[in-house]
Amino acid sequence: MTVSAFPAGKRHRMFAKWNLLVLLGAAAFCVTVFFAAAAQDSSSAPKPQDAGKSWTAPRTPDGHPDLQGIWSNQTLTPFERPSEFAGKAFFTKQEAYAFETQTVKANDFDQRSGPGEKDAEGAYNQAWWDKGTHIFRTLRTSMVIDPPNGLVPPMTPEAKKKFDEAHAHMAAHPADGPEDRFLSERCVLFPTAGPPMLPEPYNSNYEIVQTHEYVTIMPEMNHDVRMIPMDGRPHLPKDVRQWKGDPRGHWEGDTLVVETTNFSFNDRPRFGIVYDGWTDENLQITERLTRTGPDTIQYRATIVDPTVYTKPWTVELILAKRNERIYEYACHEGNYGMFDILSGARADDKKAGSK
Amino acid sequence: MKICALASLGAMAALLLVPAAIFAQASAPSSESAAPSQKAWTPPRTADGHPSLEGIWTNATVTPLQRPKDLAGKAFFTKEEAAAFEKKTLESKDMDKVNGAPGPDDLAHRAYNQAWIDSGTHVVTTRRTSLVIGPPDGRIPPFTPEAQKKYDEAHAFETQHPSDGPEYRTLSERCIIFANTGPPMLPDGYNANYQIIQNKNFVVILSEMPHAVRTIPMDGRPHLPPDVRQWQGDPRGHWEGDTLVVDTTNFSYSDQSRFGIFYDGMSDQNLHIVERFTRTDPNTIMYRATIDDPTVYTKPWTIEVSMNKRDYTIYEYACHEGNYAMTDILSGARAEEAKGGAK
Repeated sequence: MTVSAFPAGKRHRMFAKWNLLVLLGAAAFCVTVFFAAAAQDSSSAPKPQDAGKSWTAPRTPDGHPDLQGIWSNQTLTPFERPSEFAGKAFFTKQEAYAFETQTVKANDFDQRSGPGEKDAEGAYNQAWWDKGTHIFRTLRTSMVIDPPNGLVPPMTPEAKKKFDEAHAHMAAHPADGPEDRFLSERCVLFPTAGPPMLPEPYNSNYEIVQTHEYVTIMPEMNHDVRMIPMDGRPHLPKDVRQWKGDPRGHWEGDTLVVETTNFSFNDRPRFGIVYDGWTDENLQITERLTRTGPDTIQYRATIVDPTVYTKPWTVELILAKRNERIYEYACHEGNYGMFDILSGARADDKKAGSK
Repeated sequence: MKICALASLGAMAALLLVPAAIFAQASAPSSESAAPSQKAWTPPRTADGHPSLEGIWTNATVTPLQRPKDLAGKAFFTKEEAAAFEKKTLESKDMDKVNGAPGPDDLAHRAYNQAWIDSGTHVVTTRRTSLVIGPPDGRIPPFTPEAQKKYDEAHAFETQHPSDGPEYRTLSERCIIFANTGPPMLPDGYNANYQIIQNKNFVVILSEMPHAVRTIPMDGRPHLPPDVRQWQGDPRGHWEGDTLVVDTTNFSYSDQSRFGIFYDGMSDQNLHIVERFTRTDPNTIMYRATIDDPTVYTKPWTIEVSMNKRDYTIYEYACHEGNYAMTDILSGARAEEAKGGAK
């Protein structure tokens, strides 16, 4: 079954389609990811960038670094290291420029280069996208910095089996009901909120407000605030599950460390369109936010899920100061994407039944 | 389902609170009368010296939005009257109480039973007889003639087209805005909980329903240009003595009421709301909001509700998730049309 209707207009419903296309392409991608040679490249264990310079972060009244403001993690940096950069953790400046130029060109949806469905993809054209034009200023070749090969570690055999079954089920039942669709299409959870907080192709903006007792992080997309208690209270009981989990923050020197557990889960990825991996009830995420310059926060997240991944893995992103405002985000409002996907699927069912 | 039931409660409330029912102003205290806390209590302060409003609060209450007619002229309950009113209200609101042999509609109404409802057990701490404290009669002022005409037309249209599409349903059924979030922040039938954190530059108010956050800048920046509209508006805060004052403009608007299930009023593009948060004792923030919309209401009106400290954790709120109400309402309407067409 294909979702043929491509409703015009709002951002999110296009995004729904985009997700689906990603999913369709996922099989080949995953094979690449999970069975790629595990040879680790020799370069670069994780190391703080921009560190060592004589810059001191502004402080809040309680003496901690001030993370407040509007930030963006939009980037052209790939989530995992592309195979052609195997063994290469950092671009040179020239390579970065070439990569950016090539990626911006490849991402240009205003190119009308194909017929039919390919052209329909262009309905979500350049007016919508806001992926930026640069890679992170660290010049890393991937967001995944650990393992050092820049690739997410393989899944455990049990998880791989479940993952394959879930994907087979999804392929057979892409739109039986709203629950068969992605968390973001359902306006339940976006990877911008995370954790881990990963960029989307647009609206990858955040507003941070902090006090002595709380840090609040509001991602623009889905207006989905995280209230992070800093007072050392224990985690919620294990049976209380939330899509964004249950975060607890503390300071380690000048780094804000947020530990999150108690995640809700289903067999859809929580990593958005950048990575079709998944997680389960044992997911634990540790995030580290460090001001590294007047316009940057280094963001790292370590994903530990021993029943899914054979070892922990870490992403690093740079939150860059953005002189913008955050407005209300509309998700289902005026968005007929879900309705159209489901009614299209029912029409397809009917057609198949009458054959 | 939940929300559907709320909508019908809202419709009942609308019948009871017809805005045309305006009475001569009673001799109750004016909107400026102070809350009963003349004790020598000083609020805790934040690092920058302002009162701390931080914590988890609830404005759930049995106090009616507008003063019931049988209490005309009476702005405050005595303690005994308040207790009697609470008892009576809780009894009459008890959805688990079934009198006689109920019909199917009656039972369906009770699907939203006492396990769901969390609308408080007490009147506001001031023992006022209504949340509306200005005008002094405790009633929302009449619409302007133009607004009344638009309102009547919109309601006639709604009656004819209750469910042509999701846009015809209330804002809360669509998970867009709840009366909890406001502004004005009015209690809803449940989840009337808030978390406030504050620093020098921002006050952040999270309302549990629907996990909606207001980030209120305190740095004196100007309002957004008039053509930028948001459902929660564009808030700007400042301190007046020990009171946090939040001035909100730039509201989105529709024919649907933004006042939730308690009041079926309307507002338009000229809506301007000024809220005042004052800590009055260790367990209370007195919240006031003045609603000024000169093209809709013949004069401004003010509500006051106490926000009471609650030992509570706010969890994620699910609105559309797992909720088939909108689909069911719309497909039900389509089925009725088909039946009507087949006649």
